[in-house]
Amino acid sequence: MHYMDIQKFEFRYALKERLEKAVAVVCCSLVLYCPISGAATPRQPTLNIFSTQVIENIKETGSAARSLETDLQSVFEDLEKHQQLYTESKCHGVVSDQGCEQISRQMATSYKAMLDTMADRLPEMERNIQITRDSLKTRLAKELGRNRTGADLQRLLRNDKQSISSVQRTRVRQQGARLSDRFRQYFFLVNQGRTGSLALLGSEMYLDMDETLELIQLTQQQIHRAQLYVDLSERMGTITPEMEQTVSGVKRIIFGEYDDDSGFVPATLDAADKPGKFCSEFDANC
Amino acid sequence: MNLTISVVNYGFRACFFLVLVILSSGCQTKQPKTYSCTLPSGYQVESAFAQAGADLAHLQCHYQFDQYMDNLLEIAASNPQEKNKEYFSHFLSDAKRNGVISQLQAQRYYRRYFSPDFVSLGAMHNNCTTTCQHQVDLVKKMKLELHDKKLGLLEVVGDRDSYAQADQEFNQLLILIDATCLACQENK
Repeated sequence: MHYMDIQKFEFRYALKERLEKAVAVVCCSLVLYCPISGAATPRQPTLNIFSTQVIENIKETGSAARSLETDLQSVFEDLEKHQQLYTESKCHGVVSDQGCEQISRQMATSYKAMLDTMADRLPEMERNIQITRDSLKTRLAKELGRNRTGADLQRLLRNDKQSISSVQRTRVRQQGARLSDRFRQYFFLVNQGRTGSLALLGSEMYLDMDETLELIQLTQQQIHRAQLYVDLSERMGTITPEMEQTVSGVKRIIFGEYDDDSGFVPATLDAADKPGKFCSEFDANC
Repeated sequence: MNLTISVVNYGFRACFFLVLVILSSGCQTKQPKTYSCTLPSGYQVESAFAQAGADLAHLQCHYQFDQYMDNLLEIAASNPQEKNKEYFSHFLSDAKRNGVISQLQAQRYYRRYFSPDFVSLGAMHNNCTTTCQHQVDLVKKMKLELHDKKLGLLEVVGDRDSYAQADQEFNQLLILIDATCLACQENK
């Protein structure tokens, strides 16, 4: 073989060796720096329902609700005081009594004050809740709607090992809870931050706000009608049933108060207490 | 000479005819014996499973698999114990091995009755496109499945904790599905 050919061969062989080493180094560094779990198994995206913005919105809605409660509290107290006075003075049906007329006028003034306060403040409350609800809606649609299957929803619940006790804590949607208290509790629960609970909490919160918004919209319509009635009527008498309904509607939204006419249903007797029941030797309860 | 030829011809024809008769009788197909598929009954759990397993090894009994399953559940419910889960697991495993049901079907049967997991929930496509398009049907299916879990977990196995978990998760899932589907709908 010619000397030059041998040299060319050796050069090519050395170059080939160097190239192989370089490729090996690049591959090893890629392996070392690539996240192993991401490459090995498909991963569920992290649940991200409560962004900073949503949490801030919840806090602001709670503050707005608390402020509205404070403003309305004194108005409701006046209205109830005048109504009580009207009832105790037996003014119902009395036509020409100056005292009763004065009480009626005071009741009308309190009622009108309530309507005006609500007409001013409810739109702002509605806007706050709507902003919070819409930001939560976008998150839920993305995280639970588009990024997960039905079976994933059950896995989310299972991942939170204390899901049973956490569900009991997240049952905020209940009768008798003030609007501001509900939002305060939501804020507290969000900050506890367990994944399974967050999905359930976000869902409950979203459904609760959707329902509250609907109630606020209905109440606003009722208030507009009531304001019209008050403006048109020449003489204000007692609180009419329609006015009472408006007052009840407002109390329900803001203070969570319900008129419970259902009455108490006693628990059924234990089977063993029922007279004449057959008691078998095989029955452990006998 | 002519007589000899005719005797030989006659002989050949007779042989040929005899061969034909022998061959045709040999080729007659024999009707296989029909296996009697008897659904298990009574209250003896172990023998009921043994009988069901033996029956389902025969092709004729395959189409009655669901009835075998129902009967076994009823018999096992008369004697609730943890071991019943094991019996059902082996039964489904044998059924899969005999080609009665597939692996996926065996899993679904087992989980439907003996696991808090809801097999009615889809695992292939996202909720907005699948779950929410058939929300009402899905809820109905889940209710039926909860009823089956009550039979399996509570009545057959006697596992109150697992059934309580299934019941609680059912209610939680209704909230999740409700909120998710409302969000999907409003976010279109």
